[in-house]
Amino acid sequence: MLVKINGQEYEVDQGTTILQIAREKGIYIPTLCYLERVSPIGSCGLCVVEVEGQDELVQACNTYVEDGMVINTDTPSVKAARKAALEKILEKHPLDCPVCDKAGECKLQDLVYELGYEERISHKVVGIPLLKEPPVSYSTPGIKYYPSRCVLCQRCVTICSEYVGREVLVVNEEGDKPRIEPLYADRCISCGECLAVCPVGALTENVSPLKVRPWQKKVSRTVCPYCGVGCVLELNVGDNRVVKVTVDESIPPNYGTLCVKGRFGFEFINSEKRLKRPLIRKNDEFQEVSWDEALDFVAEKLTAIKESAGPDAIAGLASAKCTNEDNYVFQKFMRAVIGTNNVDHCARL
Amino acid sequence: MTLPLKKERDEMILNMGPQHPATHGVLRLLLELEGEVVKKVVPIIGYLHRGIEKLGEERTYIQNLVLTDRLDYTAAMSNNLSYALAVERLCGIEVPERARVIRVIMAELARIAAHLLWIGTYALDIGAITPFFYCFREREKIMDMFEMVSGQRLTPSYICIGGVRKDITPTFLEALRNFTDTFESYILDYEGLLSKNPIWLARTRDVAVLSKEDAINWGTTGPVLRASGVQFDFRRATPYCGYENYEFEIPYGTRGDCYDRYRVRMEELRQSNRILKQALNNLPDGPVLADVPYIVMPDKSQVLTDIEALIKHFKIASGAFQIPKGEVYSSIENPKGELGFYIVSDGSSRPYRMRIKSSCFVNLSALPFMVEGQMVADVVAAVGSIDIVLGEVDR
Amino acid sequence: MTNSLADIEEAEVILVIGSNTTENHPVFGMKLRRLARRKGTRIIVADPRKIDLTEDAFLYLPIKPGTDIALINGMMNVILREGLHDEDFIAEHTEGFDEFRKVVEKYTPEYVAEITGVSSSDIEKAARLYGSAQRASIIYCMGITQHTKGTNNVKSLANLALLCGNIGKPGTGINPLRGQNNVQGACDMGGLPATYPGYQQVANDEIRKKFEDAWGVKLSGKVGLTVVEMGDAALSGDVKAFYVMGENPILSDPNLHHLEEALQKLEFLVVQDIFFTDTCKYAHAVLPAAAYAEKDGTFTNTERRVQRVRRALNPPGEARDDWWILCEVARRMGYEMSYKNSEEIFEELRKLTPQYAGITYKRIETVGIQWPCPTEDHPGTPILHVGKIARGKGLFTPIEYKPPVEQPDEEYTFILTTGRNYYHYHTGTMTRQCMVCNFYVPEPYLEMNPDDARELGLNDGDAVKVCSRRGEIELKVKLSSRMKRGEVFSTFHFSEARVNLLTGSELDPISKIPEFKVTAVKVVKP
Repeated sequence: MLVKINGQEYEVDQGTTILQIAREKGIYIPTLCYLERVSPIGSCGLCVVEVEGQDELVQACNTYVEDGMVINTDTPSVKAARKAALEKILEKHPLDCPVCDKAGECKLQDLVYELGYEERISHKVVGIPLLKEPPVSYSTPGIKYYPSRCVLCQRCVTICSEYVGREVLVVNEEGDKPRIEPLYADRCISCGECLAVCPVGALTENVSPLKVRPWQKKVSRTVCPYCGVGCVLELNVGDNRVVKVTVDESIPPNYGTLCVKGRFGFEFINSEKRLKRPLIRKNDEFQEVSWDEALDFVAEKLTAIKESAGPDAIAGLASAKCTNEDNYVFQKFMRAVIGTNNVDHCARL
Repeated sequence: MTLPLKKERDEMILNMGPQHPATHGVLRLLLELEGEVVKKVVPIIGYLHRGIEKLGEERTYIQNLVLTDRLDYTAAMSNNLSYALAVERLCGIEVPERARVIRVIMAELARIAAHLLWIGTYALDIGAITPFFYCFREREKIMDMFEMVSGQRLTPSYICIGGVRKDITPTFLEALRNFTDTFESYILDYEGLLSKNPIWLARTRDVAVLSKEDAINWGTTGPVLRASGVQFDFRRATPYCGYENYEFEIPYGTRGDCYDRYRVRMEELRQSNRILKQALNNLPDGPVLADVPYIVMPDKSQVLTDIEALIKHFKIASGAFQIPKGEVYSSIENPKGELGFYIVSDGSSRPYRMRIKSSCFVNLSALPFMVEGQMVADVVAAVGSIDIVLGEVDR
Repeated sequence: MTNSLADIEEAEVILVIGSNTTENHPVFGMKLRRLARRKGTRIIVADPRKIDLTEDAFLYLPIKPGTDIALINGMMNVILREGLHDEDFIAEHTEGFDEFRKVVEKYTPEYVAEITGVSSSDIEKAARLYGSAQRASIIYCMGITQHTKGTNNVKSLANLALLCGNIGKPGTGINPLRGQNNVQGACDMGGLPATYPGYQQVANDEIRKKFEDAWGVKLSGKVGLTVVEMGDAALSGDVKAFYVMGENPILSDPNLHHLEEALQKLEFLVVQDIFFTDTCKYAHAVLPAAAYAEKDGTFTNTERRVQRVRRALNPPGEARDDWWILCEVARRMGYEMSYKNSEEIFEELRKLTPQYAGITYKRIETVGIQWPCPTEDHPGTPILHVGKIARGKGLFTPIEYKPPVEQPDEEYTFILTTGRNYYHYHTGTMTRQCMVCNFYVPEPYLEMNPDDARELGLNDGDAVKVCSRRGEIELKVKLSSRMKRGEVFSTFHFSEARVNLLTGSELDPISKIPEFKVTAVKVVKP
């Protein structure tokens, strides 16, 4: 099947949408609500393109290609329609970028910056003045919901029902400002998938008291410390504290999904209760000592027991929570240094 | 710490600085003296090192502008200009005509302010107290003018990428006009106090001589170079901001001593004033910022009322704009000499490398050459005459 | 797992047995749920509790705890009776089929229904679903293994997979879900009493020689003690010192009174952890370690995927990497062991571990590799037993059903199963510091069928005392319709109600796993 996009012909498969082809071929079409993981939502109207022979512009995300289709993604009318769609969203958006957690990694901001450069600043658009509207209650304490910032893209609603399969959220269209409502909050499993897909600051993370702007934080990709699925996640660190957990959608085994523990269970890392200095029991009380003293003490004791009662009088528990390297060194320590095979860990528990 | 000089026989090793009133900042000079004669000088720098070049790699292009204020803080406007020119050349931004003229005005005012500060403090260094009060009177007027346009006296960050932050006001123009009209007579005052003063002459004539060849070989620039008899000025050699359209002379000396450096700076005051007058008369109307909305910040009044402007402001301030891949070296004639920025862009919103060529650093390196074999008291005169600012030496 | 997490998508039927997947492996559970809803994959859930996944399951088999073997034998009986087994596969790739067939023939659906409490028609239905599918996968977890006959349970599942030829293809296989993020890795690295890294037997002289050469010391060929045996040995005085790295046995191990005594008896106990855990209370030295976010290294997940862990922040105070501490102790004991960084350790271990030989930090920079990966140009192995069973021929093991060791009686009327819940993890040292997790589950609870509670005169939230033959704890009752009558459930996350005070230390004779899933208890008002 052949289609022509911006004057260039492409061989395509049936059953793909215009947007999928454009993405594949590197043709840029802006989107706000589109998510690869779920079926097209089609609420934002930014992905419109011109199809020759059709009177109206069509949405690229939910229009399937037909043989011989001639598509233009960059005509003046397309640009105007996109700009109009964006302005419609912005009209109702509060002027609170400076206090919004999302600012800097906000999809709406990116789009305004991208699409707005053709003309200088449009003077038609005026957002609603900063209302100090408090966040309303949401289905999980891990997330704050600011309805005034919501652009009703319905990404959260769709991902919750289609991808997570919990159907917690609905769109409430009553009143003058429609909003998302956690109608079946008891079904919520706090997986935070809605938080991850929210393009704006309507859903924001509520766990870390410290917030860091995206350009100030360091992102390290690592592996979740909880169950055996081994989800790959990114720790967002600012000021030596974990402030947020994000995920890369392209990496196995979890492809962007996390659960409550992976997404919100990071507070223990920066807990005040963490052990900070070696402790030794002296006169039945624990005392903080230097590393040298602690290590000498441990080595001395182990050597004494090894010599008096033999290496098999010492047993070691490795850990399913430590890295392969730690475990390797541990068993090497037990086997080569102590000289016993009394090594085990909690695999069975 | 082992000292780079070892004491032998009767030499005396003397530390001058890092806290010494005559070193103009935290410069430390290690002097090897034989009696009163200086055998050797080792300048030890780095006390004011803030890692500005490295910081530049961490901050966005817009944020870096603020760092440049802290280089030669006696002429922050010039530093802003040099940096802005480098970035503009890297991304090919054309600055509007009005902004170019305003930039010239600011650069020349900065030059005058810097030279006034130098004359005042240099005279103090070698014993004349009065000129200081005269010089600071006029410098204060310039500081006030800077405050009018930018709200800041010392660190204005006024000249920005794409033009200047804000248009100048009629009040400013009036103040500037008053200043240019009267400044010539003030220069005569300073010269009256110093030029033929016998003590002044005794302290500066044939002191710390740098020959023409040495000045070139050491790579010195600015008044130090010109005082040694080289008629070289970046405003003429590689004109920027339309300097080719202004009439001005390039003063230069013949002997290369402290007195010549003083004379060159005095004359530069006059020439700067001349440029200012021309600029005032040829100030065109029009915008002061280039029309490149994805780099240039929207107007502040709109930012507080219009969501689109707010977003744009936020995006630009937080480093959304990315500069095309490439590298550039661009330099200007700072009051002290050549100030150049070498910027390598990897296509992101932060420089991959930002190297600053500092005239103060280069000129300072010629110091041992000037003073070795001279009297210890002349070290003060020599250091002062180079006109260093440690903010720029150490960066 | 014989297969990958990703290729479960190819399965037509998934048998989930003894795994509360949506709660304990939520990301994978989400995937199962999605497959059931969006793709129509048929899921069979066999579990004593009516877990969340039953919502999306095609068939739910509410078996009695500890009767898994009977259920599977029953299913296999139906498959054989109806000729749904893969005869070609059995002939070509397996052995021991005839003896196995004899045993299975006795487990008619009616007989099995009696034992398991599942109706015979449901057993037939499940068997037909599994047997007639082109590709069917088995997923199991601790519900299968934590029994005194855990090994036999697993062998039964293997029989089932072999019977239908569901092995070595995408969307098939026998897939245990590992409970902790690096159990797989800890086992691979030789954190076991009988094996060196890469499951190489310590008793094998040739292999021992290889490690002796690599490490430059004489090694012991005597198989060591397992966790529970260590406790016994400590009590008898054979073991005098424990070195515990990142574990909290005082909450996680069975029959705690016994273990408590053992720890108190030790001459020397070193604990290396990130928190002052309950085990630390018995320690003589506590060494602060770096948490996962503070170290570089690798984790190996349940699908054998070796993935990079990166240092994101600095450890608090003077906490140090676990391996650094061990190297320092080793040095002070006269064995020079030092590494520049974790990569150097990995380079050493991959030389000694054949499965890891081809994996380097560079290769797993973005996406992890699934072992076995013998050479540096090997792409890794997402599916095991492709084309040929690893041991040569798949072995059918005839297995008879035997009831669990503990049985309820007149006094101890309930069967207690233990496990985790969605919001907490293991002994709670990490999740109990987290706001969201604590919001939902702040305190220990005992899940109980509402009808049972009514009989005992209990309401939701009432405090009760749970006693077993070994100990007692106090906690609150949570009424839940997902429990069957006569069964109660609790978790081991909470140090204030240590459920392992109740559990017994009867072990599976082969794997030495304790029977956590069946404990007879009584529930009384305090």
